[in-house]
This record gives sequence, structure tokens and C-alpha cells, in this order.
Amino acid sequence: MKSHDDIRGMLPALAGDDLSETDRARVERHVADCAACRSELAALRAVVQAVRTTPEVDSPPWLAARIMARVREEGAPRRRWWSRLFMPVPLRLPLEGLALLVVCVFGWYLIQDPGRSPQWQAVAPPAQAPGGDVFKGEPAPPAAEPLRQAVPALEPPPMSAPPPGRAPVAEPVFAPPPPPAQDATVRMERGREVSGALPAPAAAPQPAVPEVAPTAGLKAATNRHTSEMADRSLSGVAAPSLRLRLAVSDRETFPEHLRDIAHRLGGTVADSGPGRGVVRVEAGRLPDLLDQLARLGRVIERPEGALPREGSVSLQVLW
Amino acid sequence: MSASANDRTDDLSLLAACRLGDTRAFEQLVLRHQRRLYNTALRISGNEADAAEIVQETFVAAWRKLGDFRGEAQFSTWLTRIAVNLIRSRWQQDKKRRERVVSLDGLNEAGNETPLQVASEDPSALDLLERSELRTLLEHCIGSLDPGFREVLILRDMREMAYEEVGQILGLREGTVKSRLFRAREAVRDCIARGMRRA
Repeated sequence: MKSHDDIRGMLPALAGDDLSETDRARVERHVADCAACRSELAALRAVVQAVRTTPEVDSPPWLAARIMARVREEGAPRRRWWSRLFMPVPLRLPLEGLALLVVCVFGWYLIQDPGRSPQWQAVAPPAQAPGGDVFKGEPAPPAAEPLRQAVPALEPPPMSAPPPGRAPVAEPVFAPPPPPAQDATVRMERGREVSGALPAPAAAPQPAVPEVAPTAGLKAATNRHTSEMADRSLSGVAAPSLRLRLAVSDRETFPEHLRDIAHRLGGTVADSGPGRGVVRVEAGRLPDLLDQLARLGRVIERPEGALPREGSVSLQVLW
Repeated sequence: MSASANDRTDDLSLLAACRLGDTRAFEQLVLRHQRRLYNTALRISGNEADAAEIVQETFVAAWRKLGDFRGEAQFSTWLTRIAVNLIRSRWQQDKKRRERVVSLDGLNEAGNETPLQVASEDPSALDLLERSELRTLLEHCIGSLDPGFREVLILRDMREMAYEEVGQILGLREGTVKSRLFRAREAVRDCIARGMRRA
């Protein structure tokens, strides 16, 4: 049995019809005998009725337009981070998996060959312009060796062993490592050749040859390389490491002049063919040979750096 | 299917379009819910300008977080919860407004509630009664309730929401909702009685 105070505490609930049937019957029985509770219940019912019948007011007419203006400013609704990252799953997951695989393979590749990164540093700075002064014998650019590694496809494949009578001098590819000075010369030449063959990275920063398309440069280099390889194959002789390329006005009489000069300097002309020949002289006569040959035409390419000072050398002359 | 169920289905289909960035679908939701939401915000905040601003912020927040709405509750319930949270944030930022609110009790979740009190010195109530505006007096008394009680009274008696829904919006247990509701009714009754006696 509930007390009067308990019943009074339930009146607010009864006023809003928020009591169970059992409690409602119990409270109503008490209220029927209690004038104070009846009065209070009447007041509470009036309050609840008044609250529930409070008329709704219209929202400001501009409200919806202002809301939508803000919403349009917001753009598309934001998705959850995982939704943005992975949804739609059939499209995102394979792509993200592939990207992860590529990153892993690339990372593994870099880890396996830590010395590879200098290649890109070597390619990045502007290389010497092909049309620059090739007579100065400038020191080999540091990019030469890395470039040789960077372009293994242009490296000549192993050829047949040199003939028994030929010394493997100045042949870094097929022979044991030459002396340091010669090695430097060889590297320089190789690097220059390869850097000329590289179209975009080495030639791009050079405004001196804007008319030459990168692909044309690559094509020319490839043709030249192929031609040299063909020459070597035909002759069966390992190519000399020193090379002089000349532009001559009279190609027919040039071989005679070449032989004369070689003979005067105590050397011989071997492996002569159309547009090429190999002059063998003592290393000490090489500067004179180069000077005299340079008078026969315009030098396009010549050996750079320190020339060998001892022994016999072979100079490939191209015209 | 009842009208409420139809509305809910319509809300869900519009929400699906909204998630694809369809602002027209969202505009339909705004037009459908803005009036009730505005009235709720107006009764709880007691200020038309604040109510309009809260409704606007509520819909913008809803648009931003559509991905968070899982459809377990009604969209209107979710909107109301956002609005209530915005109003509560404003209350916390505006301490002065709370000073003129009649303190009902300590709003203690543990149930240690102190006796109800209505401000004894309230000249505005007398002024309102002198103009015989009982409705205005009622609104004034509702506005004088402690926010925690006012929220329950408005959501239950004005919006006629179920106890469970009110509890979802306010983050309260059903027993707490009932307790606050009944005490709020008594407080409003006392406020009106006091105002009428002064008149």
C-alpha cells in the first residue's frame, strides 16, 4: 500500500498518461478520496495539455535556402577514412595492392644495388655540349662511368678474342684492365659516347642542340654503334680505344695521306677500309700523328685526356 | 505500411541519393524536417535567431557526416541529437545565459536530486501575467527550466517522442528520462502557479 506522498509523486506521470494500468488504477482510487491530490492532478494535466498543444511556429522562409547554400559550399558529403581509402573495394584494393607491390619491388631493387643512385645524379647536371670544344682534352666528366653502367644495353657484347698477334691494349671491354691513365682515357671516351647516345637526360639541358630531337640523337647513336660493331665483326679485330673522327673534303685521297703520315711517323696503317683505318704508332708519336691528321680535315672527335706515353698504340681514324 | 514507416523509407532512399552527392535529395530532407527541428531548437534554446542558426548548423553537420548515419535510428532522431549537442555546446560557451535559468536541481545521474526551486524574484513573469498572456507565461516557465529538464519535457511532451527515443537523443537511461520529465512538469506547474498568484 502506497502512502499519500508516494501517490503524489506519481501524479505528474498520471497527468501525462505515463503510468501502467495497475499504477493508474491505484493512483486514481487515491485521488478520488483526496481533494489536495485532485487539485494538483488537475493543475498538472493543464500544464501537460498546454505543453502538448503548444502550436508549432513556421521556420524562417529563408532557412532552407541558406542551409542548401551552405551544403553546396561543402561539396560532396565526406566519407569515413576507411571508406575513402578502400571503397569501392573491387576497384581500390587491386590498384592499391598493385601500387604496394611496385613500391616493394622498387625498394628491393634499390636495396640490392645501393650504388645505382649516383647514376641519376650523374645524368641530372648538364653534360658537355656535343658541339663544344673537343680539342681541349678536358678531363672526363664524372658522369662517364655511371652512365656506362646506366646504359648497359649500349655496351658492346663480348666479341671474339683478339688475334694472337695483337696486344689487347686499349680494349677495356675485352681485355684485362689497362693502366690507370689509359683506363681513364677509355672511361672518358666511353662516357662521352654514351652520354651522346642518351637522348633525354644528358641532352635535354643543352641548348646547343635544340634542333636535334631526342629520338633522333638516340637513333644516330644507335646507328653509329651498330656501324662500329659491324666494322669490328668484319675485321675480326678488336677496336682500338683511341679514335679520331674527321670530316674531310676528299675521301678518296685521304687513305693515301693517312698512310704517308703514318709511315713518316714510323707507324703502319692496318685494318683499312672505306671511311676508316687503324694507325699503329709508338705512343710518343701520337701527338704528332693527331696534329698532322687534324690538318687534313675538320676534327669531329678526338681522344681526350692524357694520352698514353709508352708502348705502341692504335688510333682508329674515321672519316 | 504506416505513415511513419513510409517517411522512414523515403528518408532512407533520399539518404542513399545524398551519399552519392545528390544535393536535391538532401534538399528534400531539409524541407521535410526543418520545421520540426526548428521548433525543437526554438523551445530548447528559447531564441529564434539561435534556433535558426542551430538548424542550419545541424543540417550542414548532417551533410558532412552522412557516412556516419547507419540507419539504426530514425533520421529525425539523428538530426535532433545533433541539434541538441549543438545547443549544449552553446550553453557551455555562454555561461551568462545559464545564470538566468531557474535551477531545478543538481542534475545528478546518480539520483541524488535536490528539491526543485523556482526563482522567487522573477519580475518578467509578473510582467507577462499582467498582459494576461498565459501561453507566454508557459513558454517562459519552460524556458526557465534547467536545460537538462527542458530537453526532456520538449522532446517528450512537445515532440511526443517515445522514452527510448528521448533517451537515445539525450544519452540518458529511460528511468532518468521519466524522472526528469515528471519533475519538469511539476516545476512548470509551480512556476505558473507562482506567476498567477503574483498577478
